[in-house]
Amino acid sequence: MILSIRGCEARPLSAAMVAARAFIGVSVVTLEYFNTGWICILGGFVLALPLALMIDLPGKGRFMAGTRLRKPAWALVFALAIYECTVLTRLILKSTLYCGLDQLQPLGTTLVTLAFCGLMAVKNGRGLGNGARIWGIVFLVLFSLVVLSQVENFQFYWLFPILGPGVRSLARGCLETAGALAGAMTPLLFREDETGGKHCALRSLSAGCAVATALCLYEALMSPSLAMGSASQISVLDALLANGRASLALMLPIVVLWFTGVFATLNGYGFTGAAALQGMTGLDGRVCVWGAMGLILILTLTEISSRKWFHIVEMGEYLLAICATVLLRIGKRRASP
Amino acid sequence: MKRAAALAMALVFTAALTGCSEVGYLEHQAYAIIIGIDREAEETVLTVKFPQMTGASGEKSGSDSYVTTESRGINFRQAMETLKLGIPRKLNLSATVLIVVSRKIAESGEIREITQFLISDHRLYSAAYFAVCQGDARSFVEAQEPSTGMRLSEGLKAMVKNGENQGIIPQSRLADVYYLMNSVYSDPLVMLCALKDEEGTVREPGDNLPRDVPVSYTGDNQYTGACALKDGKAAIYLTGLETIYANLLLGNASEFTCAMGERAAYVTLRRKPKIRVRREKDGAKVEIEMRFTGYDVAGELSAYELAEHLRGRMLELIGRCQAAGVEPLGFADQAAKGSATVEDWKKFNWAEQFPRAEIDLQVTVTKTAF
Repeated sequence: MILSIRGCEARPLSAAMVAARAFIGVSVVTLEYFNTGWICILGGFVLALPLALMIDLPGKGRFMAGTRLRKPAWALVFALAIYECTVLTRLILKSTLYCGLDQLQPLGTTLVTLAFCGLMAVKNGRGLGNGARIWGIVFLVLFSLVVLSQVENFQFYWLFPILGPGVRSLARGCLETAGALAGAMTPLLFREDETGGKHCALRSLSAGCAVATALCLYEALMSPSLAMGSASQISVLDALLANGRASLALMLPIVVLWFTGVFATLNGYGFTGAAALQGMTGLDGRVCVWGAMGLILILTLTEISSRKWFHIVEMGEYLLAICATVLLRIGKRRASP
Repeated sequence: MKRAAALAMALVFTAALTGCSEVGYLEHQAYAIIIGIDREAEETVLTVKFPQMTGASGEKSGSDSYVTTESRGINFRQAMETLKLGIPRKLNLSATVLIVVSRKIAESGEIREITQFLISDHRLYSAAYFAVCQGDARSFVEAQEPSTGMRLSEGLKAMVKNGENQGIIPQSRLADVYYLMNSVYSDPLVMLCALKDEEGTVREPGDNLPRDVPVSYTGDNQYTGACALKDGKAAIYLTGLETIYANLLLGNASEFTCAMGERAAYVTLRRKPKIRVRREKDGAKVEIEMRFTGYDVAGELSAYELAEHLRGRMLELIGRCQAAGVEPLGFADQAAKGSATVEDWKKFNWAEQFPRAEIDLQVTVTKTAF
């Protein structure tokens, strides 16, 4: 079984991944950008544009036929996808409270999560693409509901000081976001046809960034940045999903959006990791999927902190994705002169 | 074969979702509706009101449907631990509607620790209200009874909402107090409460309503006025009337009856106040522009008189805040726009600038025949 995804399925999947991953990167995992995450996303979008255009260059065939650097390149993509999956699975564990599953053992939750992720990957892109497409449709409805119900609590002055932590930090934030966006576009490297239409990557990137910016602005308008050292990942999640101004029942739409978005991203990275493993080893798709899931399970449950590597990995991801795409293009040209 | 495998997996997942965890039965939970926090000698005392739950009907109305429990500890954290040990069920704060701290606690600066603990350890983001009680919180919590035919929690919510709409109390949710106390903007304003006959109560209905309007409350517990916190410590107390003016400046209230001796007019804020903070060589200058519509039944008050009255009262309030070195009026939110970065804003040091800032308040009243 060869792991692949159709262009029309890769596009919504990548868009959902771009949206969720960019938002998580600037808002939940990194706390130092205060309420300027939306600027980082817009900056990251500009930086990721060349990559999107490169992915969109016409050419058929699967990935990187005939290049010597194939295996090391896919090994890096595999490592990054597994790392991202670990971060996301841990994030799901941290947010189980909002769906009443905080009493479950982490092992149980992780097993179910990864089993779901694996099943989606084994379906070879169909499940992933359709799931992400539904997320896109549901997002518009649910997010509109959330905004309408909370608009009276919006405080526009919380967007100020407009440059938050300063230009240098924001520049780093833009680069990191570009890395996150680049990583979230990797499923497009596996698309087996051009059914995603023209400018597939560009459209995914634009739609995903628009959604992530809207989410970031929503969060910034609902809660001020806690600049007095009280902020934590948990407090940011609480501010986003429980907020404290409305009953938890009213916050259900945003909780649903959160979980569906994080799951779509996890599934996308799970698939990318498994496909990269297959590209590297040539093993059967099912073996690669469950092998990757096993590795993610082990890493999630270990005590190794993924957070201290986060910034380096995000910035490295940008460069890596550009290199991988360049190699892919060279490979394609050689493969189909 | 495939179908059998899919069915087996579905069964396994379903089991994992429901059967591996203890079900949170309603009867197993002790839902705290009101939490009162006092300081007595060297101890923190918690007085907590729980509903008597039944699996079928949940929280019931009627004063006999609630039990009050007390716990003590050397600090709030310890008192909470004692409470957990003392009650026969699992303490659950997800339905908490009101947290009341005594004036002594508010003045000791313990509010920061209390809110931090509730938000970070208990993740209490259930839209609970936060109040400072003029006397001791224990008597206040014990005296809080449900209105006839209403659940205590719903009655409380309705009462607070009504007070917010009238402007006599500020918007004072725990999350808001926590956010403002830990962010770089204005200081938080917390609602004040008191028992009816208690000395030092802040209830002044005759002050802000025409004398001929009868005012009566059904319960002993009054919610009127506000307390401004500076670094987690009570800095000044505002009366109900001052709170209305504070809410007008914040843009949270829009209409009230303004009394001037025997005369009164119904005043409506036409749009949110325009506030601009200028940075000048010798300090900051706060420019405020407010436009009201005034309706005077008897036709005894001129627009100018009304405007001057409102202006005078609001300048008095701002002056009190400046003297106390606390800024709960939302000026910092506007002033922060003048800084590019958080670091610049901190360097500007609003806490130092505000007490000596020049205030330019323009009030315009347009009289209407209704």
